[in-house]
Amino acid sequence: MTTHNTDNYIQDNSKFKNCPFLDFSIEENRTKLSNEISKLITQAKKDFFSVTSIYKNHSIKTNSIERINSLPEDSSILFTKTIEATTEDCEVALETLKSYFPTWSKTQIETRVKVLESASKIMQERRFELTALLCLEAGKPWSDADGEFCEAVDFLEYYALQAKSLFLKTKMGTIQGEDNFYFYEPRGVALVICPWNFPLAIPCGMFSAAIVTGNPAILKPSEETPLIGKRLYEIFLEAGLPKEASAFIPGKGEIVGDYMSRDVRVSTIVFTGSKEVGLKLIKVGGDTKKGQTHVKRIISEMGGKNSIIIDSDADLDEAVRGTIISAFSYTGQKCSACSKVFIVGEETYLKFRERISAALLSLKVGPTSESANTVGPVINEEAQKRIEKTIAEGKLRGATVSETKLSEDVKKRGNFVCPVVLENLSLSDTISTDEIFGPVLSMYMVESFEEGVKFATLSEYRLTGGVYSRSPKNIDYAYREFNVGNLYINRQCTGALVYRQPFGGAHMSGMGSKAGGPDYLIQFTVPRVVTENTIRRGFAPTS
Amino acid sequence: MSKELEIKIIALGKAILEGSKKRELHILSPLGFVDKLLESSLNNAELKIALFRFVDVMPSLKNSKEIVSHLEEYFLEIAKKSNIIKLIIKLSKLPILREIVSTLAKTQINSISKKFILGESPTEALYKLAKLKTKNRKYTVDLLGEAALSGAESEEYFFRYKELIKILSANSQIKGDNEDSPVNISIKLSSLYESTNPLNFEQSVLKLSEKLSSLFRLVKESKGTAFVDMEDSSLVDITLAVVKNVLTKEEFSNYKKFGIVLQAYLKRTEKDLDNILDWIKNERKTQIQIRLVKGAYWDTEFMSSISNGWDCPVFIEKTHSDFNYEKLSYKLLNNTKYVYPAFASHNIRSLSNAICIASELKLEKHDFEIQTLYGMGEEFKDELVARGFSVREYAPVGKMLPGMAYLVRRLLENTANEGFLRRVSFDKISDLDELLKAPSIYNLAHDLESNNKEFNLVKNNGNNDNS
Repeated sequence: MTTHNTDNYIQDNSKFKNCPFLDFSIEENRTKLSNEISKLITQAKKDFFSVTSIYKNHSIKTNSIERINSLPEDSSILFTKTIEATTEDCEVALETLKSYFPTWSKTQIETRVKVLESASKIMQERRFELTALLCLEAGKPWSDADGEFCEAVDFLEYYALQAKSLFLKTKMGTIQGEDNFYFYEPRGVALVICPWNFPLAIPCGMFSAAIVTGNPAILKPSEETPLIGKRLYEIFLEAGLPKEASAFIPGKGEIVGDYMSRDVRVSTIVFTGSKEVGLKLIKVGGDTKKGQTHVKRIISEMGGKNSIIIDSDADLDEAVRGTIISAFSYTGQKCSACSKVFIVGEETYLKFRERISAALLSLKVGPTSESANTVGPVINEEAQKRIEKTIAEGKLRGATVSETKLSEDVKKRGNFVCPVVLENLSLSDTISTDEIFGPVLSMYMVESFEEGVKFATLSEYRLTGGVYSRSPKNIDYAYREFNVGNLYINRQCTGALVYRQPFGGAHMSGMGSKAGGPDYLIQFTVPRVVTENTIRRGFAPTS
Repeated sequence: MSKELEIKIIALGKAILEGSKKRELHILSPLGFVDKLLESSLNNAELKIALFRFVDVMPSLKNSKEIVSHLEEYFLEIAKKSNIIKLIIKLSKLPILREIVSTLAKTQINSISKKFILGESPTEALYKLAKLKTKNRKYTVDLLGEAALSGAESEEYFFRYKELIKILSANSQIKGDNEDSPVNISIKLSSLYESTNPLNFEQSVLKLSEKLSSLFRLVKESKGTAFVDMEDSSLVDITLAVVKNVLTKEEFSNYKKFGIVLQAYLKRTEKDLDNILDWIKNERKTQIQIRLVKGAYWDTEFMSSISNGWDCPVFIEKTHSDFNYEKLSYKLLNNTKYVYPAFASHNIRSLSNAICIASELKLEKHDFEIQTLYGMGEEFKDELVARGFSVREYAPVGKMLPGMAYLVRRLLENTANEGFLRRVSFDKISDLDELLKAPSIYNLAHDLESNNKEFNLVKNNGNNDNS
């Protein structure tokens, strides 16, 4: 029946199993998470959670800058106080890591794998505490926070499993008298620069990949979410990661991030975040300094401007539900989020418009400390202002289809933005081209499915995409022509799972590497080959 | 279970089957080529998927061009092996014949859906309901529709339920003497509040209690009956909480004709039933109705639990659901002071078991009833009615487009490998002892073992048997 090229394939038989989501239909799970959230709020109201740099030989400096973050959902709750790292901190940390590289790189792979496995175990013991922290510090709705927790555990388990086989030597060829071994070695100090939108899972994935492949690593959390970063780093230390092999450096990207990315001691920069910063890192990292003994590798995962195409024969129950999840879960602050929807034909456009328009009024927007809210605040006031300005301008150039109403009370309390659906915007409008990272969806009518694919791939970004169709021919067409990093057919375009949906995009979305996929760890290594001539005086051992 | 009882169950089962046989059994009446396709799809997994997917998408297709292109897309591969399909596709390429083929496909699917769905609106349904009465069958009407994704859509459902009650109660044509009210409806809670979900538990219970109370009030005014359907397993707690909430209200505390549905395929159901019985004994003190079904979402429950990494909430082996059904039947019949049981199944073994237990317990035929699905297993129903049992049909009302999901589920059941109906009428299993044999005893150890097995989804697809 299906004609797309899936007739010939290899079935992967990895034993990996994803961490099960919490079943929130079980009351106990709801109660536990609710209790942890209350506990954190009570604590924060008493005193800030404080965050400082952690590394070997750390001494308190006097010239540090303090940063205070309030909760995205409630600006009256001052949540964290960070003593931001300085370039002096970076110096000490880099030197320690550099000198420990020979030791860490030669540590038994079993030992390094053990760190990840122990970290996974500790994390699972603290599941509710960590999930609660995601709900608060990152402003994540419960399901999203739980999904992120699982993803973090998945990265640890999956990379641990991958590393075991990656570091087995491969013998090349069967020629008698000659042994050829192909194997991977660590690259050197890795700098891990983290985003705030997945402050547990993404840092956990990038950092654990560097560590398990034998590279000492610096974890730089986002300024917005330092506490989750600190918790994560502490878990690694508890799991047996030597302090000499790692450092936790919270601070400003423009200061410590920039300083370290230029440093000759850094071999690999691993980044997830905006296109602007990603491209800058690629430039800075490519600028080889005098005395530098290697070419830096930059693994950069950047933004997305993702589309869903609704075919004229789509199941609208599924399409409306899936589009809402894709566009508005975590307030559109996922790089995988859908921000454009192309609908085939006027009849379907109008029906879809009517249904999504009504459904938007039923979206539960509010504090994510409460379980019922599926759309939370945006990360900070600056983002709120920026997104609101974008929406206001967009409304003038296009037209508003629907907008969720929010009580003034909620709006005043935190960084809330009303989810909105717009239409009548041209494809070259900035709303149609730029990553907004907020709860904004724009609708476009197209003549045909093919036209939908054509418009959806106009973007410089190619991260995710979605298709709702029941036409085997059109699904086949999307397989071939809708060339984004992760294409989802008849489901939402967010929520990739480690191993099952390795995640990442090419073009301006990144270097094309897939987090949580089979090729990820290799990027942190250098392949080597050793060839030995085993013939002595015409005599060689038989293999 | 005693040996004598087992002998009686099989004897009664045989008698019902023999009696039904004289009434000639068909899975589907010989209506035309879609029927023929359905029949041949029973042994052809590829054709079955293509056919069901086509049926599913059909109502959303806007014109004959779309219908014909989908026909071709779905059946192209299969056409290479089947001459009749090859011919249809070839013919449909001719512009003159395109209209004919698409109209034909449309009318075929329409006529199949008419077998299972009463009509597009309650008024349209009245004729068929009256017809049921002439066959001495009763009914409970439910509404089909798109998922309620917004406040506007759940309000519309609420309105439709109210209208359904109004139209049924006003109709003298179907007002039967064997039943004191023409109102008997089944309600799906998720359609009444768009944000029904466990993370919104308190609000869900609150909002749904309000809506359900209003509907129950109307039903009570017309002396009618209402069941609250059970949906997917994540909503069981909410459903139970809402029903208890509403039925504890004073205005309903003495009214016996409200009911709830329990699914035997859920491992948790026995405990739920115990809790319900305790609640009736200790708090409500008035009888309620309980419809016992096997459960209609087996594949979804199974696949989503695997996908989420959760323990499977349903019994993996069909025979264990059957076993649990019999176990729960016994418990219900043992508590007729507190519950009026309705045994909803098309499995003659399951029904025979309930009937025989009832007679062991010296219960009367009106102490319980049998429920079936409208449009399925006609011959059994006549036989059961002839034997003096009360037979009620679960009959949906709704438009073609949203009706398709229901229709596909019915077709799946009709064609499920392990389905009772299929085994009788298509596989023509003549060994009645085999067909009617007792289900395997379920114990936890066995179940855990099955849970650990790597399941072949395709192999298990046949487990979708609500009958």
